[in-house]
Amino acid sequence: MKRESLLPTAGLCLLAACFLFSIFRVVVRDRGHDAADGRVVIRFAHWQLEGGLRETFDQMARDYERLHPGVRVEQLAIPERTYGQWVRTQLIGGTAPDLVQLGLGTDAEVLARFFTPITSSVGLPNPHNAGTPLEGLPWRETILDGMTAAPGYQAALLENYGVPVSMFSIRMYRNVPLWRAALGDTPVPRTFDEFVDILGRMREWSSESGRSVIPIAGSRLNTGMLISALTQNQTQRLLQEKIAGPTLRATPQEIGLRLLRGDWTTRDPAFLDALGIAREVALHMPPGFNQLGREDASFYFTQGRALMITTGSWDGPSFRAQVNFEIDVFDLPFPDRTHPRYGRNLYGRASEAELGGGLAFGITRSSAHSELALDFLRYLTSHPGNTRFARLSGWLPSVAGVDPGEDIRAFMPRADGYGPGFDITLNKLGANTQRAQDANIHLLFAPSGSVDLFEAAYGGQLAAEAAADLRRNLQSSRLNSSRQDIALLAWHFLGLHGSDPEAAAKRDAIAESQHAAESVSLWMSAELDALSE
Amino acid sequence: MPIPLSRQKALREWRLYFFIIPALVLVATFSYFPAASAIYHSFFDWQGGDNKQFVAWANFQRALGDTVLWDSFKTVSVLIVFNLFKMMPSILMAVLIHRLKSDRAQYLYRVLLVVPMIVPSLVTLFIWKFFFDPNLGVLNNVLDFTGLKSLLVSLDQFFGWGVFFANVPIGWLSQPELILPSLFIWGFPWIGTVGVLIYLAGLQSIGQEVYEAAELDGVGPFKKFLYIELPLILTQVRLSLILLIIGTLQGYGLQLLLLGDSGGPGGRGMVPGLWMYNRAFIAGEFGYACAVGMILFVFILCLTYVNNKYVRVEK
Amino acid sequence: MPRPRRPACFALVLISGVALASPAEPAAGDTSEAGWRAASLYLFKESAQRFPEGSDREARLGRAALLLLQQPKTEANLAQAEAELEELASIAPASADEPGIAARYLLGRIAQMHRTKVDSDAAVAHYRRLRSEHPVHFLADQALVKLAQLEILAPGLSPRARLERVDAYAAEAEALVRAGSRRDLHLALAQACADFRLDDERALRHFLAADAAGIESALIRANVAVAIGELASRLGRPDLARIHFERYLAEFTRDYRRTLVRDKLAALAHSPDARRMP
Repeated sequence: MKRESLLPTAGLCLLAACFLFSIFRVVVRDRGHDAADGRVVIRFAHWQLEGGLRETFDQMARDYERLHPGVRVEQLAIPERTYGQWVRTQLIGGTAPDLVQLGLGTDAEVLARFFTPITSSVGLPNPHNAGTPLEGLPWRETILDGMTAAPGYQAALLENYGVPVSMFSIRMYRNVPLWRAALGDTPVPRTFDEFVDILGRMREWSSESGRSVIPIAGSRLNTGMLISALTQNQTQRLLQEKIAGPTLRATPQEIGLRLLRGDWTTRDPAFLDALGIAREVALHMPPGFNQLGREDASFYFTQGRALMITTGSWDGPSFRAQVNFEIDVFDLPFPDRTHPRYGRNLYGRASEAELGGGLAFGITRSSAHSELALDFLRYLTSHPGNTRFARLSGWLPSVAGVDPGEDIRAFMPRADGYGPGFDITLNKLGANTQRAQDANIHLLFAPSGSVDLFEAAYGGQLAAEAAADLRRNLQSSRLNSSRQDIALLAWHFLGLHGSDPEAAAKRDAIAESQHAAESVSLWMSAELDALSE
Repeated sequence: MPIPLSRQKALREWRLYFFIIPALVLVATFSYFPAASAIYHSFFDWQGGDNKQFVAWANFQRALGDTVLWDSFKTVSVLIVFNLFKMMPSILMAVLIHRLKSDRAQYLYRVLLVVPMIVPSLVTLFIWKFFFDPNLGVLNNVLDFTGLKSLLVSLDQFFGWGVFFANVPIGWLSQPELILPSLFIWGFPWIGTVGVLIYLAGLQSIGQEVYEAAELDGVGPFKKFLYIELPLILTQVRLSLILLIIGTLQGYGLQLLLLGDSGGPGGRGMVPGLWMYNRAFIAGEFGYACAVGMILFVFILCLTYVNNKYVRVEK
Repeated sequence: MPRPRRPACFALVLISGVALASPAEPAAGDTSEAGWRAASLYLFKESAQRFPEGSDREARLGRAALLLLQQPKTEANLAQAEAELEELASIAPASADEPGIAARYLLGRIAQMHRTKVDSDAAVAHYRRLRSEHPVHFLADQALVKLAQLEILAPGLSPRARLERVDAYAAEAEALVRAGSRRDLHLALAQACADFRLDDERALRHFLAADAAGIESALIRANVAVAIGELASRLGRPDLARIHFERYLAEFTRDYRRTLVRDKLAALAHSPDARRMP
């Protein structure tokens, strides 16, 4: 009897004890996370699980520890799928690492609330650059993208929150032994026609030799990169002649609006040629490539079942670790101006001058050692630190003047060349345009399809879908403007209080950006209203 | 049947109620709160962050004119018909196992049916994705090996479908005409473990005397199934039917994985759940996605009501 | 029969309460300045909590302004904010009362930007009133830019009517006190001429004026430099085009228009007419 009455109480007590223990752990938790050996611990989190990168970061951490014996550096590699939620949870719980990779789950509000602005620091020299050609230069000027791009720079807040450690470029990879077996000493293609010729020869060799090898590993993502680059190349002149204003560039919204205004149509010869070149490439892809994922294409290539693959510099180290054959890379094969069909539409090969930095880390407000975290970030993005990073990881450097080594020199962004035109999705105008493309693209890519079939179907839907995307975009602009209203007033009154010497400059910067954005929004709104009448 | 408990006794053992609280909290947090939140947000223009604006019935009005949504209901109706057909092998399998003379054999088959449940459903989906791969997939290899591909090509040439070609692997998920057939093929031979176990439980409750009486009357195996087994497991069939309709209407994971967020070529695989996902996570129209969810909920409710009211089981 | 252990139960509830209660953010003194500080960082929830209660006009303005962003956004909140702002704006229309001036400006912004349906007429009326009552105030400068944008970029105007409005607002540019506002007005006029493809000559004139007033944003500065070069070359002013193209090339080393601009510069060396270039 006594035992029976105690049983439920025991459960309750256990529950209460666990609950009390949890409260105790939360209350006494050590935000500094210092190591048992007395060293100060800096933790940094990222979502890059590609082969070789974690080992590189580990090595860089050990190097930094040797420079600073009282410091221990720990990395946390979180899968990309859950990274956004994980970061938010850590930030809200006050347990975030000192350095967090920016870009997933770190919008303007999160940055303002949980991250330390480093705008003033990036204007000062990076001490780890002492004795290098970058000595004395402001940190900002030592980074290839000038720290003016997201996610490191937050335009709405007019502040720098992070510094990129790497960059990414797109290249064609080739299986060298397979190439030699199938094509002998044929050099890598420099033009589009040479590329198409190689694809044809490879198919012939494959059927003659009885080896089940495809010329190029395709997937929605990988082929998408190649086709997007080629179509953007084909619409360079169309963009300049019919779409872009005197600034010589156009946003996706302007491209969409000019379509609605009738300044250009999907029947324009250049756009039809863009579709034509996309179809020409797609017909050399494995059938049904658009249903395949990135991992399928990588599988084909790493298994030696494909001669080439189009992908980014981020895949290089993984491929090298996985394959037992030699691989190298070459530039995407664009047509040149002398091409009989496609040459009339373009200026020249695409420029990579505006490639933004990637793998940017920001410092959290909850960091107990923010000065050390900043120093570690300076180390990662210094000339010697970034050189070591690039050499160890096989990833591109983000710092000017860094020689990344033989393996990745071919990935370095090419600043020469011309700006892009636009691709079939009007440079990702929005979800509706994208869906219209996805729903009809089989008419372009299937053997039984054609440029005309696709144009008829897609062109018929594009205006309505582009208009829907533009209206959604206008709503976002209005939201941003309405938030800027309050920030502008805030800086105005802070200036009146005299507590912030930069208040007037910040206020004026918001006004400048708000006016520029509203001019575009009001123009688009007026045009959309006129078109809907 | 619950044992009657006096109010006094119930109050005396008040501490026991603490043990219900965790379960109640979990159910409220993970089941009722999201549902209530979806109802609330369906009246807002909400892009997923903190910012939202009350728009009353605007999302529902928009949904009424949304052709993609109503087309997706047509697609899901076809899938429900497919799935009704796909219920049959499970019933058949249950009957076959039930009729096994050996208890050991019955046990063995039940275990064999349960074993695949260990495989996570995502892995199963990936296996099926690979199954449909045009170049390396099992399906195309089987068709090539058996010569069925040539037959399909001949039929195509005769009827002019423009789907099967001699030297081109079949793109099961890249041609709009093959999307629904692919979704039909998916899951072959369509023996669902849970379904079989439910039917088996029903079959095992049939008394031996019923079979003996039938045998005395000279009833054959097929008539036994038609007049004894099927009517007596209709309760289980109805349960399966409800679960199947709800599952098919709500589900979109299969379509998302096989066809992508746009429902594949021509949008032929677009189902209401996938459209809801597309609007929320691709277009960022969370408020509208909630309204689509509400419409879906009403449909499921109505179908469940119709099912309960009209699919009667004679006792 | 064991008695219920009330103290234990009470302690458990108390601990639960303590644990569930969110820890209050330590406020840096609840003053209007603290409120504005949070708002300047786009932390609007914190900002709303930090404006002190009471009749202080600045705090009332801050609270009303934040009502505009309170989520979910409702007509009731907008109406309440509007009523409060009307009261603030009407108390001392002629005095240099900062909250009153800001309230008038915000009333214009509510009509233009915060309501679901834009009420351009109401916005124009508020902005005009602000300009007439406080012509040299920073927010009155802002109001003129907003007025120009609303009236020039209004839907349904003929190109000629639009050009007339461009000229009318261009004449008002000199009335603006701050260089930044003059820049923004000229940029708005130039953008209108370029986007609606109204007149290259006027677009060039206003881009030049904006450039002269000083552009802070690197992105806009690059665009304006290229636009001046391009328009000048189209209009047969190669020297002007050359200056701005060269300035652009010198300043913006990571911009994908560089090769195109270099081609245009090379063509300018041979022919003043760059319309057919490159």
